[in-house]
Amino acid sequence: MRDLVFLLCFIVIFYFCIRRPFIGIAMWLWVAMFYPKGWVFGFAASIRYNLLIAGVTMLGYFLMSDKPKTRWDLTSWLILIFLCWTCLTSATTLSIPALVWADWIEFLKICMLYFFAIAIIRTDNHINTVVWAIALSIGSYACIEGLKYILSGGGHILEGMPGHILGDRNDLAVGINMTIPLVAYLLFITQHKLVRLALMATILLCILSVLGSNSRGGFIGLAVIGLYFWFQSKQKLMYSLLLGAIIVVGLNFMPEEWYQRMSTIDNAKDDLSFLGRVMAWKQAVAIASDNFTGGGFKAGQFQPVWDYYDPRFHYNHIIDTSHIVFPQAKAAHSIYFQVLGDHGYVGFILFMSICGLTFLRARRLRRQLYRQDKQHPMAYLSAMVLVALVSYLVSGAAVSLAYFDLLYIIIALVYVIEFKVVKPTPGQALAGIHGTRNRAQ
Amino acid sequence: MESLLFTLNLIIICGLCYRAFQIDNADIAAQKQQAKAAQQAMLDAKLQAHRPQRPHDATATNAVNSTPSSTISAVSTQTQKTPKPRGSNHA
Repeated sequence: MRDLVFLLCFIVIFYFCIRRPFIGIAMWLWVAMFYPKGWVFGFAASIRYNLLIAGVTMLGYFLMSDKPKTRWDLTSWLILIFLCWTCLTSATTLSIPALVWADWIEFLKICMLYFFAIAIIRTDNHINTVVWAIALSIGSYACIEGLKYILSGGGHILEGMPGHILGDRNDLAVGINMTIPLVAYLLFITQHKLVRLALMATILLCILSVLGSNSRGGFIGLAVIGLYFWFQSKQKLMYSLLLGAIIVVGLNFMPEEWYQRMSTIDNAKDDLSFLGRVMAWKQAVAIASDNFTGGGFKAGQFQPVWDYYDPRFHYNHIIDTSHIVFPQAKAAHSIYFQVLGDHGYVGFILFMSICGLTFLRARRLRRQLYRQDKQHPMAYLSAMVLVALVSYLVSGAAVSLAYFDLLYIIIALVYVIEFKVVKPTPGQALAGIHGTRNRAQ
Repeated sequence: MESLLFTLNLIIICGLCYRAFQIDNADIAAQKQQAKAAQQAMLDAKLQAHRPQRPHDATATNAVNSTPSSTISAVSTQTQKTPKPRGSNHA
């Protein structure tokens, strides 16, 4: 039954994607984040929805008779160079080439989503549709998990879909953290009372699901978001009291395991889970120092590579892990060390430049737009995009989520706000509209 | 409950696509209208520029009648010397 309902709705979605490529971009992201394959069973699970949507979006773009001009900015060039560099690191991998190339293709898809997003998205409506798609994918999943958490009286631990990029609860917590500011933006632009209520409930359930994930990284990311909103609010005292009340009430409902887990943030040096991460980080540095092109995608998780660069024998003067033995290879558990181990120092510099540039641009945009009109939706969106990015960069320090669709969509949103909404080139919008109009006819 | 929320999500997504499509259509129509108006204005300006100046225009006659005689000849000489019509820069 679920298969049929989904297929019926997918036909409707597909039709709109054919008519308008920007809807295709939003649905491309929605399919990537919502992971319908994990929801359906039987024949519907065998269909490659993402490929279909991506294909029709690209076709739609190429069929546009008068495409809007796309400016190649520094960030876009860096992403392209990073993609080419990862191609090189995959060719010289220490791991099994077939596995590494499969990961490279996944990354290629993410980059293609970025490039098509900056080429197609150009108006407020397009941006809002993409943000709604994020809210209806990760946000709605967080709602379901949050409700489960409430109904189980705090017993349910957040889980991602098996096989999905956000399958791990730590990764999912990072994704939810990035979604919260974007839902706040939707709340800012929405007038309809019922929809506003639903969005408020979504934010609350997102917060609950992050707390219910027992993820320390997620908790820190949530604290970053909370701090931002607190600093931005006009009634700091009132919000402090409200937050205090929520924390006091919320902490009473938290299970004992949660307290035990969070208390390990203080005594990290004795925590085996944390030390395991340190070992993975040390190993990533060792791989990068030994190989100019790094090890290739997820090379550190390949057992022979893990054994060769055994972290017990490296950098023990910083944190001693010589006494710890892990029978199996561990994931990098940090976006920074993940890129470092996978693509060497060059890849790391490229990745950091992309993130750093986006951060600086988003901050500059926020200031510029706030100065002009604080109530302008794009001013608020630029601020929320900045919060989502900071949350990713902070909580990403503890998860292997460097190749994440949402990060690249956030970079694309910053690009679109800057080049197509704030300072579009003369005739750009009109050219785009003509292209779409011709296709629509 | 999961199935219900899943179905609800799908319905909302379909609604979102429809709404985005509608808004885009309205945007396109508005842009089209704007482009049409701009084109019309340009055409009007062109027509205005190419319209030949009538020497015995009522307003011109009035102006000539109200102008002191000493300046009449100067004005008429200037008109003959500079036949470039008004608004030709925009053409």
